[in-house]
Amino acid sequence: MLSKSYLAKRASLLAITLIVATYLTVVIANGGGLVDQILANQIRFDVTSTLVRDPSFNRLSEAEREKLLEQRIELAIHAKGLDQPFIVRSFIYLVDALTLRLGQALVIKSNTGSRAVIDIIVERLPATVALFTTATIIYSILGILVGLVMARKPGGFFDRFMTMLAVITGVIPPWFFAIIFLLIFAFYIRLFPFGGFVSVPSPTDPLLYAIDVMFHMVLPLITWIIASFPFWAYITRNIVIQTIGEDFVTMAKAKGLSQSAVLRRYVLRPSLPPIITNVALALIASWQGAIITEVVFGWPGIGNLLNLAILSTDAPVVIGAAVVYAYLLVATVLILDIIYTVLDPRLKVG
Amino acid sequence: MIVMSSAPVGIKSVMHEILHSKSGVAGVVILALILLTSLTAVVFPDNIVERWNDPQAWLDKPRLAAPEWTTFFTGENPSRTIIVKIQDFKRDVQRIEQLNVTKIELRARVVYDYDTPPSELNIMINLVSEARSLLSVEWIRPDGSTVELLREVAEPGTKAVFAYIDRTVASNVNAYLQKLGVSQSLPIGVVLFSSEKSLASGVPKLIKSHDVKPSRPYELVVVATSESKGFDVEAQLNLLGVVYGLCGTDNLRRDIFIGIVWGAPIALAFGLVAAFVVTLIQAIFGAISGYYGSKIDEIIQRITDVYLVLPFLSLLITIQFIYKTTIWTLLIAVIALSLFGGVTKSVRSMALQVREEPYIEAAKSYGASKRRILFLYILPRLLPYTFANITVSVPAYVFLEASLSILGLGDPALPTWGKLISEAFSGGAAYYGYWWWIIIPSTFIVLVSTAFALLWYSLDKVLNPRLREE
Repeated sequence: MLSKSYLAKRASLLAITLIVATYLTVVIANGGGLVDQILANQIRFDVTSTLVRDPSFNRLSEAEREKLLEQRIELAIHAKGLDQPFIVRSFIYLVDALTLRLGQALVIKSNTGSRAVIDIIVERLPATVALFTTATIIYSILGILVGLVMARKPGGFFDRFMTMLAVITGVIPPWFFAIIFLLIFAFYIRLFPFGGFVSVPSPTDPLLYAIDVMFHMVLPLITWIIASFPFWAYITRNIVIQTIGEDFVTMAKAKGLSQSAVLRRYVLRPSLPPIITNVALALIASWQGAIITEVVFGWPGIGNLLNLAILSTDAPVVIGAAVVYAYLLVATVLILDIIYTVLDPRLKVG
Repeated sequence: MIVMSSAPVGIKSVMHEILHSKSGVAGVVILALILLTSLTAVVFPDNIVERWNDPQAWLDKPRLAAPEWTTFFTGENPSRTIIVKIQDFKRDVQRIEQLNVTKIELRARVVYDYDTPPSELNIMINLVSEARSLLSVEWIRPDGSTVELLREVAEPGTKAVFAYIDRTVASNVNAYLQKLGVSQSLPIGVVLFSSEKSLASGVPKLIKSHDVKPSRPYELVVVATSESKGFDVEAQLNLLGVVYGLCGTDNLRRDIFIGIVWGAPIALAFGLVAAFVVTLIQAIFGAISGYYGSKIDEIIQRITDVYLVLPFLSLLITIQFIYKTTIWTLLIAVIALSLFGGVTKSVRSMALQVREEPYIEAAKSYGASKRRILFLYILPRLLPYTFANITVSVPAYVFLEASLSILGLGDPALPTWGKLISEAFSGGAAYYGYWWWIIIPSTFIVLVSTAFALLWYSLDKVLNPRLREE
């Protein structure tokens, strides 16, 4: 089937992208010798923690222990190949990063007290994904619906208004709206909290807790939706207007089908795949905007973690977050590709 | 996709199209206004970048003052900044021979007619002396009543008295209040600017110079006495306002207007250069890809696919985090990370169409080289589209700088717009309602974005005639 080969091609391309992105991160980061340092720390940590668990090690004198420790670390470094030139090491790092062995954080700890970067990031991942996915689903549906309304009367007041809005919001990132909305809705109207994930102290009842989280999510969601849906609407409108001009739509109209049936079956269906391709690019930008939006709202996701890591100059976390972002981006595009193959009938027939 | 026959060719016709649509003219006008504003930068001293980061340089400005024009809406007349400079003090030097001392009296007169006390009252005193001297500072209100702020033996050198938070002043003012029989403790500003009568009655009322007939100024009297040879004293009085200038001030007393005026050329230069270079490089690769075809095409397209999904921002963050570069080095990193992209794809598809046109065929027949055809015959045709793309990506790069600033990764020295906004945000402007600190730089950044968006919109209608309004 064509869709399978198409997906396989896209997936391998995305895999290459992931490798390139991670490799770039590793090379950039090691310009300051940072990755070397992170890995040396990791090895020291591993060796020390295995040695202290050994009773015979504890019976040795201080000097002997120190000597043994250094010896073991040196051996471990050699075993891992870290005494080789950078070009070789960089590939060792690449494999480490791709398998998400991201080392130990310098300052930041996870809530469970772990210092492993991957633990810290995984802990923050649900918050980011929850906010991002909810926002994306809401504004994409809203965008497509509004786009259809715009396409009904091109050049009308609503169409022109939304187009202008799309043009302007298209260049203004969501975090910018976030700051303004905080000022309006949190400071002046005092309708929503200033940010964060739950109130302090958080409610103990799980239901109340969930409601509290959703309440904190409202303003980030509104911000994101307002910043993003006009652009989707504009893309939808343009593609739909082009599709309406096609012969098969005229033909469907001539058959005497109702306007909504024509729109749904003959216009929207063939319009969706190009809409999705166009929007995939916007979505990548959106992921990156997520970093700053989280910072502004104090939303405890990866973006906020990244900010915290930058403030506390915690290099392993910064690099780890960059790697995880590469994964998230690639995963998003892959999901879109899958949706694309499902929606595009041309890719289905084998 | 694009109906080439109706698309304009060359910069001249692009400009023509822009100037013949309402949105295009609006965009040009906004940009011109911002450029004009940034021209006023010439008025300010040229070492502004050092000054901007030096807290000492801004002591004569109020902290977190709202813009002055806000009084137009509130209808009040809150205090403005009044600086009495060294040379504006009235000097009176007295030599008392019996005691072998010199007594210098400095007197500043301030006509004060505002509705509120100033936000700060700061006195700088410089004692030029070889020994200690007796220093007294008094504050005389228009009603003739006097408050003693300081009476002490002072060491030679410079002395800054921040009256509202100075401990000695506070205890002197409290002693004064007790003498009046006022038991409640009042802010020092209220005490210094209320009539003595109203203070004694328990309801402090601000007294203005014109409340008394004939009107009288407030007076600051600094008296220093010393037996040292060559004894001299200088003083400056800063009455800092509640409102300041066109755009207000930030938490470090910096004039936001200066930041905006200096940030404008930086923002525009960064945005324009990044947009121009990135779009042009991407367009050239796109044209090569479309025109040469076969293997070159395949390679360029695959590289582009990879570039499109590259985590651009987090890579930039890593670069800035580790190398802490200036905005101009950042620019190079931005370009390096966007050599291929969306423009490569769309220009390629256009080049595929143009390649088949007869005039290319003709060029080939009289032996024009491939490179000549590419750069002189194909690329110019794609110029309008390229130009449209430049206009739409300028704001994206302006905001990119702002995004990095929010994360604390902006240029370490330059006052950029992004840094203004990020400092406002981290300074808690949204939480305490210092709206001007956020809104004014934001307005400028949105204005620039809107201007470029309008330009793009006017071009887009020309480039995609099918989407044209009926």
